[in-house]
Amino acid sequence: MTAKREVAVSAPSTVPVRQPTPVRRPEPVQQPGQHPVPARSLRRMFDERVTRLRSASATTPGRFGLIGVGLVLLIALVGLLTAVGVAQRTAAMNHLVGASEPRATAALQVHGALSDADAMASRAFLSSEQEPLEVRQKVRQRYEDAIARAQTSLAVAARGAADETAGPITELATQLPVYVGLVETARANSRQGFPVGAAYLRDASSLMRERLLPAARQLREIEARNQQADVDAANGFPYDLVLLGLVLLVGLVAAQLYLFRRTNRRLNIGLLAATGAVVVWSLWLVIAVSNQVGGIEDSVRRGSAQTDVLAAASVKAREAKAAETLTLVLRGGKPEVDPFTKPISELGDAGGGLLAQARRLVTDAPVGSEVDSAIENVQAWRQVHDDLRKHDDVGQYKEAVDLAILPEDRSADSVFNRLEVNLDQGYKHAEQAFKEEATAARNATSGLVAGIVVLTIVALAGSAWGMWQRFREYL
Amino acid sequence: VNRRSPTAAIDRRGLAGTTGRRWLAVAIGALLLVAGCAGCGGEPTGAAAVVTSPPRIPAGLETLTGVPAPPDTSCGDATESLRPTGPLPAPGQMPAGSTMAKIKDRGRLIAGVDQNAYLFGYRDPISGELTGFDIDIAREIALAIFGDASKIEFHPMTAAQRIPALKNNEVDVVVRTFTVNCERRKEIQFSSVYYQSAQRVLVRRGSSLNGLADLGEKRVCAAKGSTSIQRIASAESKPVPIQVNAALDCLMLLQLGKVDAISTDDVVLHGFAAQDPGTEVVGPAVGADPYGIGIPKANEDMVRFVNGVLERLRSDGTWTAFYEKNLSSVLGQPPAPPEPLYQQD
Repeated sequence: MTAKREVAVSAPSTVPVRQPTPVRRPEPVQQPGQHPVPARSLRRMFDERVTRLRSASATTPGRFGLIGVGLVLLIALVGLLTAVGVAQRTAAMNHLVGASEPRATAALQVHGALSDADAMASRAFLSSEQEPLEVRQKVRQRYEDAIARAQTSLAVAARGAADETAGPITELATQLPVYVGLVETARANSRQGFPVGAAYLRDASSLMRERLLPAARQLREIEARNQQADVDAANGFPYDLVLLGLVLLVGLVAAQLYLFRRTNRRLNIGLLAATGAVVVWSLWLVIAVSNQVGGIEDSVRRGSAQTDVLAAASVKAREAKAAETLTLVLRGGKPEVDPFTKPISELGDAGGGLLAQARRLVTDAPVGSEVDSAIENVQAWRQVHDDLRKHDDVGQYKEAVDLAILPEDRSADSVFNRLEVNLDQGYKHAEQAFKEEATAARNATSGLVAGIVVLTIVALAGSAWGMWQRFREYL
Repeated sequence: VNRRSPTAAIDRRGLAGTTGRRWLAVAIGALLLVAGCAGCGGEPTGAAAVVTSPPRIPAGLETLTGVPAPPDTSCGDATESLRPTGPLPAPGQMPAGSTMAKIKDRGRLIAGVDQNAYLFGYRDPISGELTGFDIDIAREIALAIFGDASKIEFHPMTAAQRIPALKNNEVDVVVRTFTVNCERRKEIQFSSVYYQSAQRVLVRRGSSLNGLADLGEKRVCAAKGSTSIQRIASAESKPVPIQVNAALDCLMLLQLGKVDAISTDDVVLHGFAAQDPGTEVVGPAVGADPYGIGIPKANEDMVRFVNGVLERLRSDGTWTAFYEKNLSSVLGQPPAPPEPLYQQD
């Protein structure tokens, strides 16, 4: 170390020190009243600076100074850009977990609650003498809960919602009270034994099918798109940031090589520290972001992709239930086209439809077993439905209604309830998986911004100090 | 609107000079953005716009346009049916090869009925049983064939399903407030008239409307494809005919204020008035709707047999008993049963 220093000390003798700037242009004379600096004089000042720089770079300490300033600027720029880039990803992640995911979930819940309300509203109009009172109270309670859930979820979905959701949200907010009013009028009439109650119920149900459910579906689709946009924003690998880090590393290494050649000193502690800091932040960035990207992908694969399909399946199951029940309530006899057919085939089974899709997407065994049970229950339901239709089509109305609501093991109601539990359990599991993965993804980059800021400061200080050490030797 | 941007906050504190201040604000704003301050930024803050949702038209409602064709009178008096052949055979002993014998062999009569026509064919809300004037008549036919009124299968159907069901022989009879007319007689047979209904007008109680003559420009409701809607459309006072899929929807529309009146068979209207004391049946009869039992065109022996059953109901007081049981509560004392008319053989 001492030997080296000697060499370094001898260096000034070989290289001219404190070279004065040779060219001095005469200062332009400022005329009174000639307030703005004339263009010509500005130009001259610029030329002067360039010339000074050029001459400064002609000397070793001048070059050291320039390299030092350049490194500092480069480190500051790259550090800032990297911190900003990471912070933007974090913001997108926070938005995903904190805003767009809750809104997307709320939109799902609006859709689910509305379909539930419609299934329960018509269910309340089916009654059998043997039906226990508490079952009827439960149905009524579930209808009220569904309406309350739809209202509160709508409020959540409307919170800070984008302009594009204004249409469906307005539609839902204005038509839901109309729906509730029609159902209550239907109930009041039916309690008095007035058949006009069925007309109100049919009208309420068509309002639900034609306006409320499509609006809820539209809201769900918009929010799902927004959620996807956030996922995409947080999900790309930041090649640009990694490239910037590499450029900076190349700069630092080049500076050290230059210093080594010029001064024969192998190590510059400051620059080494700066290089170390940049290496650390680049590795940290790559590892954290890779974890994050993997986590987001897992959150979609294990979570939101499955919750979407399972929630849609629940809606279809309830639409089928509402259709089956309403046909009985309306007592129109054999429908020309059974309205049960469309939703139940969209719900599907192992061969196709939403349940087949859900089965393909399954990642976790608990969800898989729920989906399999759901498929079995759909098959059982189709069978009970065929049976009860056979009764109703030939005027055996009471037998049809009894089959719809009474037997605890094989009524359409009980099969539907089991199916709902399957879909609900599957949904909850997938939702939990989403939360775990999304939180892990969000936490993957926690501290990274602060870390980059600190490491940038370390790199700045290190390179500035390191270059100053060399520069100082010429003072 | 009390939200302030970061710029505003800094302006208030006066941290720097005019130009420097702006840069500082931008810088701080950028920093906030960078620091992942999602959600603490401002949202669009326009006042809530006044929103009116588009008016809702109940499903199936439409205005009938154009003047309907004048009623078909090509068959002369459509209510003339086929004369019964002598006395009824004893129950359980139907003539060999007859339609009734086939029904007996099958073990049950299949009757197309309504489940939603208050008083005529509907489910009792308490017992859930089908009940009403039409149902009682249908059971009498089963009784005449089997000696057992319970050997009957009711196929509930809408008005529009009646003729197709008969043409496809899905049902033996249709006893479902079925108005006899020439147009329908081209496709099916009718029994003799068992109930004489009259088309009248139902309005909200206390309105100044007293019949179809007062309903010019008013919205008047009836079921799609019914004889009632055609009479509304061709009325001299020129009401606006509003047609719906099921007559029951008319009552809902009247209650919701979307139509001004309903004009259809008086028994239906009285059924409506019984469900809503705020309404009343007004004015003279607009037209007559004779109800007959629909039977497939080929089954002439069945027509004669059913007419024989109806003859018995009229003469032995059963008809009057059914009227009292089902209709007297809203229509008052029973009139004499309608006299049957038969074609010249």
